Amino acid sequence: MKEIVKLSGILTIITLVAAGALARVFLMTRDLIAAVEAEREESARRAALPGAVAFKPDTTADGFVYFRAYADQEASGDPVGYVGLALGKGYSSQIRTMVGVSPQLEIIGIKVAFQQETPGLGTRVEEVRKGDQDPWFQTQFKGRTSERLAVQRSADSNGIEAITGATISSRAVATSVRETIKKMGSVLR
Amino acid sequence: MSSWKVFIRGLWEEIPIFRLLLGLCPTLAVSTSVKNGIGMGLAATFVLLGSNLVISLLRKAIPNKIRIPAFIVVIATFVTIVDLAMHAYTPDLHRALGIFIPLIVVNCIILGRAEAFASKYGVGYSLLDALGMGLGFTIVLCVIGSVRELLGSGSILGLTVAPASFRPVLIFILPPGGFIALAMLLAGFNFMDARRASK
Repeated sequence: MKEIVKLSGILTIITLVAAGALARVFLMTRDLIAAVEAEREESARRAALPGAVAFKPDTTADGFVYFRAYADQEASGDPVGYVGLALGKGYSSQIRTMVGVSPQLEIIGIKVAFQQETPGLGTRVEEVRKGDQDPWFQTQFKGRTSERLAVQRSADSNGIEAITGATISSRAVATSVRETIKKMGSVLR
Repeated sequence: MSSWKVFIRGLWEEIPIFRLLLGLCPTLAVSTSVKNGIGMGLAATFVLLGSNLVISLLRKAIPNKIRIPAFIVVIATFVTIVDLAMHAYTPDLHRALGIFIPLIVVNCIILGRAEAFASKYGVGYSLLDALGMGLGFTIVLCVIGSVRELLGSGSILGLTVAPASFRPVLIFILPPGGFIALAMLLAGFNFMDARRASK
């Protein structure tokens, strides 16, 4: 009995000191990390809607986050488009995708801003093929409306080609994009 | 054992990956380019230095029965510190290495050195051991990384060095290529080592 108390006590001390050190480092890096992630999301918005430089955020009553996109820094005049934040239930993470749409609700582009899917499978949603600029999975969405977004095995104009072995990740992106366009539709009406 | 010997062992005689055959999972995953190899190697070296230091300092205070959980807590703490620091200060490298940074916790090299060395020797020796092993790990990652990046992308450190007529052999940046490259280099290392021994 006495030995168990001693062993537990030593482990507790070690973990307390570790927790203290981690709390310190966490506080030191928290703001920097937040800034890094904010910058990543901003550049994802720009990639989803090329040409737009300023984004004004807004949230609907049921928590849907979207941005009005403007071509100039002062955000004057009418928006050139909109960017909706799509949240998809991936295999091992919540996939955050910026969906850039025209005022007519046509997809200008999408950009996955955050994912923590399985390396080599779900992470391929962000895979860029040799010689390309952009991830092939995401460029499929260009020019589509909420109609032709069904995930399927092969590539054609009716649906989205899934990533082999990563159906859940592929569907998470496509479904969340489709829902986001519908929500954008409600917002713009 | 002299200090020099403790340090130099990690660079050839007991080099991680090629001789200890430890840390193979992150090696295969991360050695697709030299830059990733350096990043992972330096992160792991930092963790090794920290964990060897603390475990050596506490070696008389940690009862034998709980040494494994105690080692893991120490290692995991340093890995989390590295993860947070890289996320804040080197975000692109952090993104490239992704989930393999937290996986440094289960990199057998770290736990292996804690168990085999730091828990038995003083701080000075433990730090030298960590430095040697960490550098050895980093060097091997760079060697494998060079082969895979050169053959699979035609570049080194992101700079295209292959002539325009070179068609990259894509398999080298995929997992099967990792196995092939590792096996070839391991065979080469064993060959060189055998020749050294026979002299």
